[in-house]
Amino acid sequence: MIPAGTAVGRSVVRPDLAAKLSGAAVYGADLPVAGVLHVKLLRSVVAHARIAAVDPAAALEVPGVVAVVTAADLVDLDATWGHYVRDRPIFADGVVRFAGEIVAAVAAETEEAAAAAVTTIEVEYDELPALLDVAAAAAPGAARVHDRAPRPGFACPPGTELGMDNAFYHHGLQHERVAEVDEAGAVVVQHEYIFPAVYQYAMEPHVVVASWEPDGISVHSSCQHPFLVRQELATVFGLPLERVRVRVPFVGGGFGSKSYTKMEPVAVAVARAVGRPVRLVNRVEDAMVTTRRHGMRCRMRTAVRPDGRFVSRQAWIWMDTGAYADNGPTVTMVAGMAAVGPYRWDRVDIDAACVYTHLPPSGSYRGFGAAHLQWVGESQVDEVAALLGIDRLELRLRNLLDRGETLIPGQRPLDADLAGDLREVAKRLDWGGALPAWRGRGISVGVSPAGVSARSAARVELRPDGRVMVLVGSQEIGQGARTVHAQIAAEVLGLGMERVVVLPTDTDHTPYDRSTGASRSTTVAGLAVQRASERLRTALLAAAAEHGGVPVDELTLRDGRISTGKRSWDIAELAAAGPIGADGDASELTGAGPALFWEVCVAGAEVSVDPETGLVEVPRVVTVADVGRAVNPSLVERQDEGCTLQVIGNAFFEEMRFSEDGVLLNDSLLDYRVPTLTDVPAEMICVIVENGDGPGPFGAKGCGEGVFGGLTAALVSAVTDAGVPVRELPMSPDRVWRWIQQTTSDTAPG
Amino acid sequence: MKPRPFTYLAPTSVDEALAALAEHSFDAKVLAGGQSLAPLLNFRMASPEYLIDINDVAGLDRVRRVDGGWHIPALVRQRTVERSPELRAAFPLLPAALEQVAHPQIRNRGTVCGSLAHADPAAELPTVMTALDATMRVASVRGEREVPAEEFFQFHFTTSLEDDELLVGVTVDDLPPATSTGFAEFAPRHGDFALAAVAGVVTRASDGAVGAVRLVASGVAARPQRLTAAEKVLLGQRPTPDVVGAAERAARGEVDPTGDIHASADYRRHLVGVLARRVLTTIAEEGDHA
Repeated sequence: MIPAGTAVGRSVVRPDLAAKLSGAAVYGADLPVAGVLHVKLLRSVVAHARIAAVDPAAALEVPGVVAVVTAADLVDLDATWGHYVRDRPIFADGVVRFAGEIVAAVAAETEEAAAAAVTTIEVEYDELPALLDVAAAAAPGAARVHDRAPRPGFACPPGTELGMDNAFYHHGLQHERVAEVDEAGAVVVQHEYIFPAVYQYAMEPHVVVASWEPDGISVHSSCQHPFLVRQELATVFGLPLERVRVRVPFVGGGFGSKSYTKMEPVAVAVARAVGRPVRLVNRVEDAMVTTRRHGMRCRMRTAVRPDGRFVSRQAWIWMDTGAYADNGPTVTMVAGMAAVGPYRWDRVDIDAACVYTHLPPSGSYRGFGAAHLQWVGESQVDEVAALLGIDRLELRLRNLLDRGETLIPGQRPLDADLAGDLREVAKRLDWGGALPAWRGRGISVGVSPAGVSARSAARVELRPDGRVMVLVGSQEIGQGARTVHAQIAAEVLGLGMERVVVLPTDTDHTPYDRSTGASRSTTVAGLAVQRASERLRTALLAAAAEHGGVPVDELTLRDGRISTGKRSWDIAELAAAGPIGADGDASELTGAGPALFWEVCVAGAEVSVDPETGLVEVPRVVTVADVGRAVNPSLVERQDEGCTLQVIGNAFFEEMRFSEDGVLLNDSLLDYRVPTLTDVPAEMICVIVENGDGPGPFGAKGCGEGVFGGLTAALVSAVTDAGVPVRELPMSPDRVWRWIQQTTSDTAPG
Repeated sequence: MKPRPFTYLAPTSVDEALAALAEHSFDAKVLAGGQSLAPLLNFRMASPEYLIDINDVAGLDRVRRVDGGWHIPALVRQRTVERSPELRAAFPLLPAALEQVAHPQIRNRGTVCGSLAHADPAAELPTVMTALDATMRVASVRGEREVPAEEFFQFHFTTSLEDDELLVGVTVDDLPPATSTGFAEFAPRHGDFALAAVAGVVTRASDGAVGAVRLVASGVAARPQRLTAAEKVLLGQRPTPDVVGAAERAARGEVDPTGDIHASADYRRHLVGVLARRVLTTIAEEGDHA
């Protein structure tokens, strides 16, 4: 632990707590908008078809309906979007590629009229065969989901190769420390693994209020990346950036489901067609076909010397990105990196492929990549340990990379003490202690690239009322970004929290921030806030020196007051004539590649398995928040706890189930079970590790996602330790029971 | 979504309610606790033209003693039954099952008869009432009739109620002496619909052998299913672990569930065996110590 500052290092109460608890917080669906029309979408009921006809006549007869908008209304635009691959039509144009694709929109005076009208639009589909399995879609000779060469989107990194096959993007990692083949006698483990498609389930589905005005587009959106949404809309609608304005109200959770662009293009397209502001509110069943987590198949091979030294790892990974790329290539890249594991290998050979299918599009979800692959690699480490008779913890400690060693050539060297983290977990799990039958312990270690981009800027202003306004484009999506940014400014400026206000984002006024994701809000945007606050502090002291006629080095700034030995002023006096502001950014972090820091994914778990029903209970989890410096320890713990619950859903019961025709079967919260309080483990231990080794403010680095990789793997490890080998998630009771049957029959005598 | 528009009727007597049902028949739905009906309306899986709210009907909200048993009228809430000292003593099976039904907030509103009339094959109460051999009291303007539970539940969400009939109450006869009951279900999360459940009522003869048994499973068929093969194994035998094991196998063998997105058919079949054994083991231990 590092001693707390005046604000940093303290579990201060979130400034937005009262608004959220009292209902005063205004979300997108609550925004009062004069003359707003309500939008309902007609979605394809089939996975793959040519659209023979769309007949909106009946819908236009419904009282209150103002317009029905389809692809035919956008022929003057290049109406496709996608930040990585520009592959997605705003409205299905002649063909639908997944069940749920948007075919038409109704704009009406009331939500009821829009809802009634949308069901009367007649669409004639000529059905086509659908590719629903990622392996089949990636197979040679498979029909193509897209017949045109992929067009790079505005955020596609220069030089990225996008191919014509359904497996249109590959992330390969090949490196050799020792150029040889695996020696004879090496222990080799090789299996295939399956990871399910799941849904992020932010409590608030996507909401967009859009208007098309003479001077440009105005959008209020529940989004995580408003500046990238602005760029996307500017690109699609052919406007300069400054004519697109994106504002973000309170957001009811994101988890990646609101990253990049989602519902904004269709909302703007409708607003453009009707010439009035429109509001589009997704329902859960809409949100589930808007974005989801990639399902995955993987084959992995691990070879280890008989003395326990790791030799080589190979993996072939297929990520099901659905009909449109969304953020699939990035997810695929991180999945490939996660397949390596933070170990000292002689040879690594990974091929991760991003594959189109005729399922709903997949994008970002908390901890992506690590959630998909860490459990796969770590279960092979466990298997090797069992084969060699070496303790699982010991085997890991022997092969773990040390701080400063290269994990992936060309990327930031390892910047954490993973062995120390792992020992912390083991201690709290009573590692090595005896357990009754059908109980097991698991432990796991991994890292995931975080930060992604140094492009965050902030402006901090002292206003005449004595308050400090922080303008920073990181979104408050429940994680506490605004609290943390206020703490950073308060600490630097010597102010009480009540005098610091972090403003909501308006792209017309807020400095640029690339995105709220990759655990970058504290580390990257927070650094921008810190630098801006430092400059403001310098400016205030300089102004005070002039104001009071004393040298700067005789002044102190505490509790909002500037003092010399005898006199003091409230800083408000300095701003009496107008705000004093300063800018800062995080550009000092540039040049590190996508991993501005490695987010630590270390966790442990204890489980008990009911061998008769296959039900797994989780009496204890231990998570490590290796955060460098905990700006707000309570928020750090809440991050780990929230993520723990999402992991339990993903690991044990969440799974989007599609019919043989590719239609989502469990598109309601009745049938798609998300975790509730009853799923909370009896004991949740969050170990905060503060080594001051992060690149962010006060030595901080991001948190909140590492648990997805670490705990998923630890749970698999624990269930395996209890006697049930796992090669597929979720570990639902039905599956666990079947695996037990298989294991029993495999080992039955005679 | 919100329900399609409907006409709301609020009769204050059984006769008024029956008259309304007679008039609107197939176009009407009866609202008691609304814990199943309201979601159906909101999802528009049910779109009645008339909603007959019986909550103002007098005389249907108190459990009463009847000759040789207890009568639970149509407006008695599940939570009331669960917490009634008399009913807990008379039928421990009821609280054992009711504690598994959804959550207290839902049981505070949901009625016993509402759940029976709704006849969800995954619900606890139809299974338990079948095991208790309860009798449904059914009324219409044409008169009253009594229907045994086993004849009442017919198919998914389908009972032998005619369109103009109201389930006015359910009567449960006192259990014979030396009778033990048990209930077990498996739901991945408490409060969810069970993947499978088993309710058992076993009466022991003076020598400790099983004299009468009703073993009923839910989640494996379109209505509560009596496990007659397992019952046959038990009849006349002392419920030793071997006998219980044989009953488990019989139960597994006689059900033919279908798989769905929540569980495979094989798994449900296996669960019915496990749950039958758990119920019978509890009953056997209780009977042996009685």
